[in-house]
Amino acid sequence: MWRYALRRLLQAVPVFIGTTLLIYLLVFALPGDPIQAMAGDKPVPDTVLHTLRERYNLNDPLLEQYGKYMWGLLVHGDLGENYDGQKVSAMLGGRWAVTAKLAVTAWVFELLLGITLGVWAGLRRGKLADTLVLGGTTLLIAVPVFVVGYTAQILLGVRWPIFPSAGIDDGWPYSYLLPGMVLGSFGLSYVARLTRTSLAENLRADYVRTARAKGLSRSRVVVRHGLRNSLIPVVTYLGVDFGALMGGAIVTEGIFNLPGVGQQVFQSIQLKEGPVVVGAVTLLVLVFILVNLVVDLVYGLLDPRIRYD
Amino acid sequence: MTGLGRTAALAAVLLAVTTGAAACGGGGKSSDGTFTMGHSEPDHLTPGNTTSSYSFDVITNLFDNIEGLTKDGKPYPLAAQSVDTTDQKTWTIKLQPGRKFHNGEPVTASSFADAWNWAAFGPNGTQANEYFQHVQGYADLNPADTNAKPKADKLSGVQVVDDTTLKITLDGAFSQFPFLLTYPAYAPMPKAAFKDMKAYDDHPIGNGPYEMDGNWQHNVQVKAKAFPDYQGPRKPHNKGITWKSYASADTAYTDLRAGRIDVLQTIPAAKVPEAKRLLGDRFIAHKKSTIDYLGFPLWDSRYANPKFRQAISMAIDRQGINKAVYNGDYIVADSILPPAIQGHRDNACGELCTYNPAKAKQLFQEAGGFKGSMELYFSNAQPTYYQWMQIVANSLKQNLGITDVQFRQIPASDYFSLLRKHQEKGPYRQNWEADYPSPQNYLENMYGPGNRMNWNNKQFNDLIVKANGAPNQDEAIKDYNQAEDVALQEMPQIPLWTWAGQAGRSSKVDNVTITPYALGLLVDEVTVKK
Repeated sequence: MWRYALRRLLQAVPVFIGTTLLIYLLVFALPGDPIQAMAGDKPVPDTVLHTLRERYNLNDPLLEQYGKYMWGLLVHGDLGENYDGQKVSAMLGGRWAVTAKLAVTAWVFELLLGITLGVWAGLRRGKLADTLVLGGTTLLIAVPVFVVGYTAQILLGVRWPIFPSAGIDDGWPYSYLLPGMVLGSFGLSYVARLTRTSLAENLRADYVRTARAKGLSRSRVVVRHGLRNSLIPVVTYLGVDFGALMGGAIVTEGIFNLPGVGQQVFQSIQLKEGPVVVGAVTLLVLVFILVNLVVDLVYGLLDPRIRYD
Repeated sequence: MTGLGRTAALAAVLLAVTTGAAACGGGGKSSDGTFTMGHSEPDHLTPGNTTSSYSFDVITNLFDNIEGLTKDGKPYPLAAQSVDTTDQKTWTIKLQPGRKFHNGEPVTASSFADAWNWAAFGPNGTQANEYFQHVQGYADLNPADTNAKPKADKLSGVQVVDDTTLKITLDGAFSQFPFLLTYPAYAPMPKAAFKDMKAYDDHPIGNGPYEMDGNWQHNVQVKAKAFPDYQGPRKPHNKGITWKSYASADTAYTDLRAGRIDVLQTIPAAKVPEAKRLLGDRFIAHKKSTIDYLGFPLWDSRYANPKFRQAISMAIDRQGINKAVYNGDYIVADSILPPAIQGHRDNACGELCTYNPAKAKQLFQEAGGFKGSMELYFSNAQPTYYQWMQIVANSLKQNLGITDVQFRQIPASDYFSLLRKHQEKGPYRQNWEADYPSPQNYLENMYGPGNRMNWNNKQFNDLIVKANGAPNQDEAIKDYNQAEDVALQEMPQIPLWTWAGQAGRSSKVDNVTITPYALGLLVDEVTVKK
């Protein structure tokens, strides 16, 4: 298993180099001049433009720029600066903390509530509970996140101020509960539906009948035999979704004014801030690789038939 | 692994992923006597290194310039006792003695000279560099050949006579220099700043009524508290202010409704009708100095005839657009200058800015009509630009019979680069927000030599030079107005409308005045209920 994990981690190296180069090329290919754009409509003399271009290596050919960036990153561990002179590591550091807190809140919410609802519906297939869960989750999937977000914000943040309407002043978890639930509502629906279907199917399997025939208690049959085997698709989804949540939720972060990675990447793409976009997206790719590795390892824990060579 | 062991391991993995990423963050509610303003993130807080109005909102409260601005936009000595000149070219500035920076350092003539030299020195790459171009010696710090080394690193026109006296020599007569001295880039900086300019940007030390309360927390907030040793005339009526950064104006407005912020300078246009109803007397309509124009690319011969440009101006129904797009809150332009600027004359533009389809058609035909397709340029910064451009296009079709009109919506980050390089192939949206409330700031910047339209008029240029050398403000204004009349007749750029400011406040604060200048909200005057 450890050899397997190591091999997977080593595969991350070419992926890392490939993504950084690709993102660098893409940002470079965006039209417009970031230094001019920074000044807006106010006049900037040529000396200043020239100085800033030199400072951020923008006068060099593309591959040389990329080379200098990678040299700084790999040799000095330096993610570089944006064109305002702010350190990218400092810019992203605080934002990753916000995004991570939001992602974890949303993820725990969809995991706990999603599996619970799924089990509830799966055990009462065709009954009222099942219909309610199916109907409710369909609704959540159908309504766009900004509608859910603004509605929740106005109702639970302004009309009945149970939660802060926006911002991170109250820290984790209080400030993150409402945005976390909004962000997690979509994933919640998928988790609930996957769990329900998978469980309902497995409960009809031969080994469950055997377990029942052995005289095991109902809870043991459902949890240890039925649910555990039903979780493989759910875990796959949760893993991929955790990666996606870490990517930052531009809309949710915007509605609730959370200074997370999603907003930063969005802004930086508009401003053509190459080093920021590359830094953020590369870290994101690493998170994805790591989470997927964890998911693959968890398969083995859930289903002993899966082995790693 | 046994079954139980596996379950435990699974739980451990989940727990590790869950807790590993989460760390605790915190913050508190604002205490008594201070208030919070909903804001957009500034770019820099070093005075010479920004031209962003969000930065100015903060900087103008941390610093006292030589000249301040009154509520109606007139300069008055703030950090200075007097600002004198006889020829509008050399200026003698006497500073108030005994004033101090927030770190205790005395404010001297060199505090100003050092700050200006730093901002004007090309290799420092500051955003406000260009604003020092009127000072003698500027060219030595910013050589035309960008690869050449600058000949000097100090402005020869800035002379420190003694601790409280500065002598400034400009490159020519410039009667509006006191206005320029109100511009935030002309603030002083203490010696401590130059040791580490990066650290200073996060914690600027000024001489103004407020001092930083902790470092600037990027994308979260800037906190400032009343400076106890402040000697100037802007003594704070509250204990402090927090500018909270919002990425979305809608969310800032929601937080105003929830009572989490006390002042919001700009309520999103779509929420204005609702805000008027919900906020009642806490809704604040205020003047702005930003005005929208439609400029012409005069290098294209189809736009070269002034009669043609007048026809376009008279074919646009400004009030109709104002009602359709801006709830009728904007002020239709009757001059190149907005009403908040000294020298604005009501109806200066006269019939040329008045909707008159018949006259427009007549002028259009006299000018020989229009061939080919007309491309309208604007950025995607606001959805309203596209809305009003569509109405303009319809007017041109109906009133002048220009049927082939194309829209060119350009990403905001590229828009000004495109205009600077003269790459637009048709009329373009342009706006101007006052750097300082002098008519010169509008006229010379937009219509003077090297302007964006490629318009070159000797009579106009001469009048501006004359006004810049005028011995007093009344005469200067008279000359600027004459120059304005020339520009209006020639109409290289059509004035459209002045923006309206729509702000709101919470019931916790009072005395909220928002000026149309770089000063913005008069922070020191705000009172906070206990």
